[in-house]
Amino acid sequence: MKDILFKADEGTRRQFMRMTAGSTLGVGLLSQAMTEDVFAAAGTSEGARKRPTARNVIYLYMSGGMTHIDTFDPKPGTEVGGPVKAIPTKADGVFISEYLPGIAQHMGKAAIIRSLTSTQGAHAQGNYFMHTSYSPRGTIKHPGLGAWIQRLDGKTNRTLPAAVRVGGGASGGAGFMESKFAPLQLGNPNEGLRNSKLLEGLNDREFDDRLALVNAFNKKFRETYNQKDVRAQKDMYEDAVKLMRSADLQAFDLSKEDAKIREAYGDNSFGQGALLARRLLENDVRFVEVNLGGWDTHQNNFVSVPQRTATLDQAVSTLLTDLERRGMLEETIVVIATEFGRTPRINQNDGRDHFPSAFSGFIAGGGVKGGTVYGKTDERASNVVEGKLQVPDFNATIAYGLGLPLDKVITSPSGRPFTIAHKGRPVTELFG
Amino acid sequence: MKSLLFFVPAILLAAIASAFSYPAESRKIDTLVEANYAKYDIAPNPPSSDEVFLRRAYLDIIGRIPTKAEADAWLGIDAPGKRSKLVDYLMTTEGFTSHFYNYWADILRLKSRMQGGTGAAYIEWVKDAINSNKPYDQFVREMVTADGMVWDNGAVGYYLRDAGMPLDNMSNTSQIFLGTQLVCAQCHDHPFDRWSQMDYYQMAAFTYGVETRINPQQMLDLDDAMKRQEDRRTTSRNMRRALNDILEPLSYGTRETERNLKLPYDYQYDNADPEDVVKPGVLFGRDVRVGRSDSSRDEYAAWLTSPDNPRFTTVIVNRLWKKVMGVGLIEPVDDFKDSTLASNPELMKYLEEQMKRLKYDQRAFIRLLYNTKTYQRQATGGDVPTDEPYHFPGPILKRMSAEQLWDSVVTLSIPEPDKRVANNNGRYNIEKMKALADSLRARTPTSIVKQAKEIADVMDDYDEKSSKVREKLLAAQEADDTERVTGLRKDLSDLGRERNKLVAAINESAGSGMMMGEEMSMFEMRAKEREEEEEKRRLAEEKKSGKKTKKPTDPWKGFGRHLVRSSHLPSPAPNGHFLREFGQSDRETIENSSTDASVAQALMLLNSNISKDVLNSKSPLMQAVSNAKTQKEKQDAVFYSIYSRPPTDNERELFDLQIDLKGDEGYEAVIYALLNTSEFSFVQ
Repeated sequence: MKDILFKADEGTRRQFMRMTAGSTLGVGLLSQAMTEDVFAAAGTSEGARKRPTARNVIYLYMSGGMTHIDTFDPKPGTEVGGPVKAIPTKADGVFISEYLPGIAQHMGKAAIIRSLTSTQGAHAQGNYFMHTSYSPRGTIKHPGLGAWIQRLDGKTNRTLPAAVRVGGGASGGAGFMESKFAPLQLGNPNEGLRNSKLLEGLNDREFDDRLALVNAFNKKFRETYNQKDVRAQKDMYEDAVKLMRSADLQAFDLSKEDAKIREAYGDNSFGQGALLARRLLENDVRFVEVNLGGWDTHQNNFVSVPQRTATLDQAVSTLLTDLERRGMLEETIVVIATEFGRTPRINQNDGRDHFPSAFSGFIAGGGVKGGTVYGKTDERASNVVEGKLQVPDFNATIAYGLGLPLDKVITSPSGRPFTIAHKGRPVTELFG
Repeated sequence: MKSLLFFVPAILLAAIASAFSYPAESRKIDTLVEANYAKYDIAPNPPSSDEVFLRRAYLDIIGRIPTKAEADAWLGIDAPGKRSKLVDYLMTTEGFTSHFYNYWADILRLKSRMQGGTGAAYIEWVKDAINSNKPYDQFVREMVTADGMVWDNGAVGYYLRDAGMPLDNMSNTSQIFLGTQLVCAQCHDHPFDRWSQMDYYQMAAFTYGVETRINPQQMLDLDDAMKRQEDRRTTSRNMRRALNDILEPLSYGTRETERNLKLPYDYQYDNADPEDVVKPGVLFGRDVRVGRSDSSRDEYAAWLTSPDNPRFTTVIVNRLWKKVMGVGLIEPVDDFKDSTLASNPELMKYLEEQMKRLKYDQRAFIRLLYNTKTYQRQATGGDVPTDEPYHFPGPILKRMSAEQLWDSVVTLSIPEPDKRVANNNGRYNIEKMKALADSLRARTPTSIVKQAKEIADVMDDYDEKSSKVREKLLAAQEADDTERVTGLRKDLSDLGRERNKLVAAINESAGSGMMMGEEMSMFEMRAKEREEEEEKRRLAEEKKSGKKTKKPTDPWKGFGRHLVRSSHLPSPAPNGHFLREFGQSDRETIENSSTDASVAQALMLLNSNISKDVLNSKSPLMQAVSNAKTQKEKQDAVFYSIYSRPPTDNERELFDLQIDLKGDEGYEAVIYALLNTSEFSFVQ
């Protein structure tokens, strides 16, 4: 009975097959899964583009600045390390913080990057930079990875959006791209897609009737004001109605999951968000971001961090197990990202402050060479001494795994050229 | 009820009956705008109709659509200058404070949830400043010079909002009030502007002495008591933490200190060495002589808000122009460079002169703008390019802000929307904090240290037990024993709960817990007392005048408690709230609100209970419909309530058809449909 994930897997898969078969959308996960390209070894081709090893991304964002020393770059027994111990992982010779015992068990399929460095030391700017590869400017808004994926590679599911975000986040939207590239924003994963059912007492026919009425009343106004924002509103209603009528709507419904699986992910919105991410990917959403806040540990770092890591560790270890058993891990890149690390020096409030010079990231699945540790900091975790990786390089690496063209220029409406990861260069050796 | 409904328009009528004057300054502004029409070959838009003007003025000035009664009252007037009078009237209402509070909440990133509810005090201070029309320069000065405990001076919230981040606070100050982006220069010289890292640090040095993370232990002399605790645990992590928790209310404020700002350890330029102390210095304009008065902060504030500061006046004038017309004379409003030029420099110069002449009275200033012909033209129809200057043939079409849209829904749903206030938890929290801080000051150090030690013991015990469970958890993870892992995780959270219970009990017996309980009931009592006093006063008044008056009834009885204007809801509203879905700022960064369309917005209007609130038979909209006699009047009631205009012939035909098909339900269908149209959610 210990293998609850696998057991639940069968039921869900059957359900999923039925759903896909009944769906009017021909191309789905099944056809993709049969595409040889997806699983074919991509070799070690250099350059900006390669055959993709992954199709989808689950992007776990640690909002507020995740401490690197107390998670993926531990310095046990030193002054900067505080009371935190390091533990061995499934990958030989790789040690991570004792706060992440579950993730330690998955290091065989994951890579840690210990040499990230950012130029942005404030939350909004750092968050923006990590999400877009560009530093914020007053004159333009840059799109996030989810929007880029759809722009460069299209949607797979026609009614569901290509990108979904669970639980907040200010940057990384559509940017200068049209609003149809914006990720769908969900507040509480347990509520699924809110307001997607007809109002009580309204049937389909009456609803259609009312929509026709809306269009009739809109006609004159839309002729008078033929503007981007007004047109966007028309698009949004069309998309919303399409979504309401889609069989794929059940992808948002976590109540369809086995109670034990839900518990295994953790009874909190981050854990449930991770589970929702898996469901959405099963329904051909390409990019799901799930946000975990509370990392801004200026005070009481060693009280707050174990609380955050408990949530993170449970959700990520369950997610990786779940994806693997469903055969989804090979085509899914799971990322843990944050805006910056935290100061090695522990401040007077027993906290750590912002530290963009050196921090860590985590990439698992999607053809990543497991057990890899890329880059290195010095013994104080304050300087990168090996394999320095800028934020755009990190994003370029994700895009590289997806086989997206890093040099493809997309022009903003004001005529300025932009690329998916700015001038970032991918770490190709992370992929087999 | 009826008299209440017509209460507002009666005042309005009285205002309109008084003498009319069209401000000469507004005419001058029009002339300056028109100069650019000729220069750039722009055809001005025709004047807007009264209906369009009415709706726009209500939304722009008080942040909501007019009710049908308000529309009827004003549209029915035939008097010169009725538009000016409407503007003047609207600027005196509660709705004005509500709407301008939302505007500033977006800029200042006002959050209800700051440490210990200090956000409530800051928010209250901002609302008071708007309500009392505090001159803008004074408003800014009071914030940047603020000092003390939050219950004595809510303006300290300006620093507490960026607690522990004094450098970020300065970059926010320069961005908001000087339209100058310094943030890039925090780590290195600005790559696209002339600011060096040294410039930034010199500015930050003015306010670096403001301590926002007061160590509460320094506020009481606990040394002796600590020494008497002959236990090395007194210095343990848990002991320190427990003390900080108990003493926290003493830290709800700021303190001026002698703290010096030093350059970073990796400072890379020749003009100073790393970790040198930085002397304060201004970015531009008249130099500030430090040390001439008691506080360099006062000197700096005087420089910042001086009419001679080269950017201070331009920034606020430009912001308010944008607020009224939809586009700034300078865009973006907060990234000025030396090369920045307004799209109409003569107009900008004149507006700055007016602002100075009016002594930074924001209300008097925007009144001039609302009175212009420019503002009163029709909104521009086609796409407005964002990368070339706009020459104001009229205001631009805007989607309502999240707050305008929510407040308009509230207006359709409840009577007297501007007057309804939510339960004032904020005020309650402020008083509670003050009481807690006072009681801590009255306690002996020994009793506080004793309480802390008891808590630290509980924490130590928890640390020991939980670390054992964590070890087992690790083993279970390794063995891949999922069921055991889940079980152990539950044990861990049980331990946490037990710990919290014990700590609460200690606090209670030490007095801090008990006192909170007493305070609570005291507040309830006070509310009741106030009510009783009101009633006594009314009865006495009756006796005196010999006239019977009615006991006031709650006009919102039976209406959902969620139906209050956005300015009374928590800031920001919780994730998933109507306001957030429609783009209310998360209050993380300056002006982070958005009017972008999203699928969730359409779903909200189509399928949420919002339409049920509007369609409630007691709502002002439905009351207006049922009070109307003929079918035509009922249709007018619907259209005036939602669009502030009568239906066109074509729309009336559509409406008739719905009623023919569905009877009374036809009204529901039409109202539902109108709420989902662009005309409802845009400001023309």
